[in-house]
Amino acid sequence: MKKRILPLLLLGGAIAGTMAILTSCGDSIESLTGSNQVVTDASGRVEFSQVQPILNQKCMPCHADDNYNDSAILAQGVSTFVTAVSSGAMPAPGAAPLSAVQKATLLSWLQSLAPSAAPPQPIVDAAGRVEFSQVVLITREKCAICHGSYTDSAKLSSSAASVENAVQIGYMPLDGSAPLTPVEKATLVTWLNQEQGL
Amino acid sequence: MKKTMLIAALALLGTAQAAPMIATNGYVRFFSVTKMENIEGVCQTAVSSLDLETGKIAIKSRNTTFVFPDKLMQEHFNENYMESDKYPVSSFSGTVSGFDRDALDQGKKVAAVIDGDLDVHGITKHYHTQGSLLKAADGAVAGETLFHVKISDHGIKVPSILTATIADSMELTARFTWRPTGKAK
Repeated sequence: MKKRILPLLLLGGAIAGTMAILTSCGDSIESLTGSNQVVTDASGRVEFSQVQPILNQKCMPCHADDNYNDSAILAQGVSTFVTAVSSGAMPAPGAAPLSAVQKATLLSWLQSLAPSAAPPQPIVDAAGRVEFSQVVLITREKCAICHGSYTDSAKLSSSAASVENAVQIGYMPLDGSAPLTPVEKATLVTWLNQEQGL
Repeated sequence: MKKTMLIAALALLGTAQAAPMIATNGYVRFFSVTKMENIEGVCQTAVSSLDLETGKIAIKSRNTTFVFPDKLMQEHFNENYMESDKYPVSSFSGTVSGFDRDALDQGKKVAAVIDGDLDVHGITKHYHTQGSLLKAADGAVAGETLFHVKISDHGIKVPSILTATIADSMELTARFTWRPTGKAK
């Protein structure tokens, strides 16, 4: 009996250790578990501390001389940076691309710098349309816990008008501590509008 | 080997956080009494989530879903007082604590402390009140609370000519039945 229990205890320890390592390593847990979540403060804003590691990893290798890990520098050209990141022009071809959650985090933070000058832009493809895969990233985190089927495009599309209204007026998501970021809201509403032919 | 895999799967499942329970037909009523008139508005479609593990609770209701006995009263509520076009949603976000979890799981009605922020008319105010919870055999949890809200605290102004009919203090009752979603976070 003891011989059987020992391997199980070791296995349990290994699993716990693996989870602890994954938890401490953002990129790893994102790629291995599929967790995609833009981390925001209580008001739904992305803090610079969330952005700085992305800048250091994905921008600074080429833009160290431009000090692109300095929030004040980036604040001077918000619209340029938003365009470069949202269109996929940056990181440059050949460089490690931003993951979906890194892209959403960076865009949310950039747009929060000058909300009046640069209204939140949805994450779109080359044709200027929001792909459902972007919507899934949002609904999986913010909607699916109550509305599981909202990761199904047909189901979500069939109630596009009511979902859009709920999102626009802040009725949804229910959990006030995990609101949609401005970019998530713009992306979701744009896709819902696409589905309604608007 | 199969047994080992099963235990490993159970160990991984154990690391997932339990999902909050959800209520979709919540009852929220406010009621005020004056010598001239009683005012009562009821919403039976408020939505809420409750996580018994963390105590976290969230409630939202659309202001236009409050129904009044008098249609004109309902119109005034939305247009003159709540300004529902501008502030379409009322919400509460906070925690439920201080309840006996074991007694709750045994099907006993337990008292609970409710702390949180009520956002009405675009103004958020912190409330500390009492409530109760009761768990049914099917896992659903019913909860209710009653407390008083001063409408002036939420920036709702009542013309002095109408203060005889609209009290500043409103009794607010909320009843929800949360059911497990069966989904993990």
